[in-house]
Amino acid sequence: MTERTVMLPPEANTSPKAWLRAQVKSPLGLVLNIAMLALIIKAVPPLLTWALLDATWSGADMNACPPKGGACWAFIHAKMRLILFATYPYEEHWRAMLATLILVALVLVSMNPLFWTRKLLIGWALGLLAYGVLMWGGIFGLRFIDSSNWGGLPLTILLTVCGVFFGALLSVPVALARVSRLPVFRTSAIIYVEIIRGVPLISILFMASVAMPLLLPEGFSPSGLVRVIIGIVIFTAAYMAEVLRGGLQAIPKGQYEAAAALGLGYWNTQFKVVLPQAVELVLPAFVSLIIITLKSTSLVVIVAMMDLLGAAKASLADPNWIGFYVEAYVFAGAIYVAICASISRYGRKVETRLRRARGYG
Amino acid sequence: MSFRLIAASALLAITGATASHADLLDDIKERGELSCGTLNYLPGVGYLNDKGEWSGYDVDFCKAAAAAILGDASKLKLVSLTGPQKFPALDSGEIDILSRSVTQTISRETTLGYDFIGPNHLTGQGFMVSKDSGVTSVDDLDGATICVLGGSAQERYLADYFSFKGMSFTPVAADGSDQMYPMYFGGRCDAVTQEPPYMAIRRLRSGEAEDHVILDDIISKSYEAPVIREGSPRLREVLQWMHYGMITAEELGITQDNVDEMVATATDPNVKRFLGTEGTVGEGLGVSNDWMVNVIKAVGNFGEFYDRNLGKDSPLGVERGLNALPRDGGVLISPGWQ
Amino acid sequence: MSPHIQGGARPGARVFAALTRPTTLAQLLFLVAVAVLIIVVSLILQSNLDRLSVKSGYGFLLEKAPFELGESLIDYSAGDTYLRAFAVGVLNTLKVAVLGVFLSTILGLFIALGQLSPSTVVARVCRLYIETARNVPLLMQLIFWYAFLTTSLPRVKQALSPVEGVYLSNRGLFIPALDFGGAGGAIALSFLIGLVMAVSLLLWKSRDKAARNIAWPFWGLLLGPALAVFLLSGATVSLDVPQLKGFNFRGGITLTPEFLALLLGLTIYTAAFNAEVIRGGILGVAKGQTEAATALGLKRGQAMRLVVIPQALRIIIPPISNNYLNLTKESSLAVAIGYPELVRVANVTLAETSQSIECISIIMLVFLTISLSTSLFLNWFNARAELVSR
Repeated sequence: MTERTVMLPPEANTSPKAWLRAQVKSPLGLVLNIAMLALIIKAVPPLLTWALLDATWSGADMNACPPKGGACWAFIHAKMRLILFATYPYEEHWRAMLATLILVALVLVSMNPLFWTRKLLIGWALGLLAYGVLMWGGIFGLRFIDSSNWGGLPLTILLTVCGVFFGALLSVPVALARVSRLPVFRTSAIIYVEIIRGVPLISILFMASVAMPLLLPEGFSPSGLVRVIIGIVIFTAAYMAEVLRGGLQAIPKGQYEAAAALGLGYWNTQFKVVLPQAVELVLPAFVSLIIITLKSTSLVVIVAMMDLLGAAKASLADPNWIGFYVEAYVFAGAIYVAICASISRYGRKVETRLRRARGYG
Repeated sequence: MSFRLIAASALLAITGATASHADLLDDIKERGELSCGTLNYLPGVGYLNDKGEWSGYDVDFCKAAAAAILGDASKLKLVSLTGPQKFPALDSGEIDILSRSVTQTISRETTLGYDFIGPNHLTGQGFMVSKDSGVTSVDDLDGATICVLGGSAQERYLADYFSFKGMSFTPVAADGSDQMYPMYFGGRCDAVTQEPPYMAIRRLRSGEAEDHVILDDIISKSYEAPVIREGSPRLREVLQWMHYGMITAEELGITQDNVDEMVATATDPNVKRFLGTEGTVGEGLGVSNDWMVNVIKAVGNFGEFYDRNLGKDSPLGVERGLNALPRDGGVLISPGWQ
Repeated sequence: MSPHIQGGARPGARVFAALTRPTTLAQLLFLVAVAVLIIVVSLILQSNLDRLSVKSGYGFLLEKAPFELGESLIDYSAGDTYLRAFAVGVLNTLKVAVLGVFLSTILGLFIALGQLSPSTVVARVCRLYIETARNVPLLMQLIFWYAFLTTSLPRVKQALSPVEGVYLSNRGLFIPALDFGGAGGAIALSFLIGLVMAVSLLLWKSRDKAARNIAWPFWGLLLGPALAVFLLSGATVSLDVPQLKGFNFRGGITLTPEFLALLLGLTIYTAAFNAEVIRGGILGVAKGQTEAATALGLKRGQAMRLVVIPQALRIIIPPISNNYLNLTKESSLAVAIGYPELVRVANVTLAETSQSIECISIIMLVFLTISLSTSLFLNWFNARAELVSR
């Protein structure tokens, strides 16, 4: 074998000087850079003055904050736990926090197909048990807390997890029906998916919270929380089914033929051969659906539930603190951004790790 | 016809619907919990304090009701509701009592099929305008932009009044008073309409109190009352007499602080009957005899109840106005407890 | 496996065999289950409505609506029917959707180009914009913008006036309008008809590559009907400039803060998604295409306009139309800021009449109609675009 030298492209010069030269090389780039820098110089200092220099950091009520002064972080200081936990009893906040952390950890682990083992199922069972015990209480000397008192960030996360989890479960039969050869199932799936994707989530939430009790026998109406979760699940499942259908259709025909050659029936083919591959294929799309669901849960405000946004809104109604909407929304908004950004970052990481483990890319 | 009957009975058998009692009062006692619909965005009326605890006038009525019926103000489930949700929630049985500043009107009582308990809060709908607008009466507001709470009865009365007077206006429907008042003081509207006491408080806190005037005109009564579904006469009786009881307690000088002492030392037969140490007033209503003691321990007499949430002991500091005993210039009366 | 029936069997037996096949049975069973469910639910609904003595049906639409709506494209005042109120709502939804689609596309294009620009600073700022706008719930953005517009803009007496006749205050944006002396509605309608005809012509002609000279018929169809109606009606044109009279500006066109906040929120939110789609489309065009264009001596802008964009469009259109549909549906969040679009009208009606199922079904039907007709149009359009590409 002869020695061969491989010519690599010249390494990108990353020194600050080279970077600077690249920035001013094209006239357009130069102009844009200068314009944007000027804009930043004009916009950032007043913002910083408002947020930091002129801000009020502590105080007992609104009189601590001058009317035309900077940010009133004293308001957030007073209302932080209200915004984060809403009506969950004050002394028991640690329980909601711990339970939510368990839930989040389980979800993060489950987003990586490499961890899909029997152990994970046991983990979920134990985790959900711990979650229920912590959130409801009633045993081990923990005070009982009705689900109507759950609120704030734990509620946002609970709604998201329930929406995604049950939505994913429901989406499997819908997606299978959608690609089925049997006309009744296929048509039903199309009708379901198209109707749900054609209407705004808010109308489904109205249906769940206002009209659902009329469609159930008297005295059988589930609690408001459960009704809203049902609405979110029905909504999420339609979108997930469409994503999953894309995955199913991307599985090469050879896989079906190989399964048939092995003598596998329809269900075995789907659950042992096709679905595992399809789910892995659509994982990135699933991650963005999780983010969309998380943001969509804020719509429950319109049916008077107090999730993170609802609690931020409720915090504005205190007669001792009037008119600090910017602070409240900046605080809650920052939490949303942090969560969404970390989910998408984590999703990308899992994706690369998975590609490496599967040996492509 | 017969098919429907068969289907309906089959349905009943399938779902195994629980036999519901004739009166909601028995259901609540059996359940051991009262479910009460309220709101979470009106300072002093229904809101959450720093610790996330429910507070306010409408919320305290729910607490009092739980104390009266179940003997414990904490056996209470509060559900916050938006305007469009409030009646469906009552219809479906999700809540037993709706205490959400609902204005009592005859159409709601007759065509919608509800029973009102009360009214327990008497105000009217007025207007606030800026002084330099030159407006001195509602009739000067032709063509004005007016801020109003969206989905409230006031939104409707406003439209009624202006069309009756042949005037035009542009409504700006706000989602809660924390959205409405910054808009008004910022100049989004020429006038704002709500109950005068609330407007007075907001004016006081706006930092520009000198520049705004509350018009004397009241375009409609706004007598707010808790609501239950029709068909539970005994629950209605309990709540109605609980309201009278809070007034009577103020008349008799029974307060949250001295109620235990009064129970121990009272000699007046009227007071003793009221507090349940003599006679069976409570049992007659279907609750315990010391029910009013529980109510007063939970929320106090009417004066305490009002002053803590809206009146002089609250940051709002609203005058009691009509919501006082006749001896203090108000109209609150209670029938006798004989 | 179902038993195989031999060819000689009687037809009845064959039908029976077909019916007892597991797949057929499952489908039948499913249909029966759905039917039973529907019957049971409607029976429960009926008994619940009877118990609550709530009226049902859509008869209430012809009754008088006792509320005012802040703004409307057609004449409306309290005392008109609920039906008219719903029409106002639908028109307001369409108004904000159409403008939102237009503006979010333009903003999205700028953001996408900014990300691809040679300036790192601009690219970073654009990235920051996308990450923030996409990750904050739209409802929160809307509430924020509304509070911002109504409390931070100047009062009506101190309105900003960048150009004579244009005023910006916390009552909204006031701009001059063309006054056709009563014939405005007819002219607008005929312009709309012209627009539809012109676009149809464009689509129909685009199949034919040779025929490029359709400019005259296109503009003729676009402007002809409106011009004809204008001339025939003998209307006069005058400029209707807003003037401060009494409490507020009168005349001209008013864009209220509710509308502006909704438009701003929807535009900013959707533009972030559009920018990603557009960027993906531009990057999706093979690099060789740009290089080939450069080799042919085309300038950067020309290469973009003549080579890259036409190809990128084919990648962009399906996902961006999805974004447009989302924007239309999300305009329903305006219920939280008091813009009288369909959902708010339904919400107020619901509070007034307690007819929840009817009101919610109207919302669903309207949005379903919009989204299904859009998808049908897009399917047809995509089929067409594919045809062209051959």
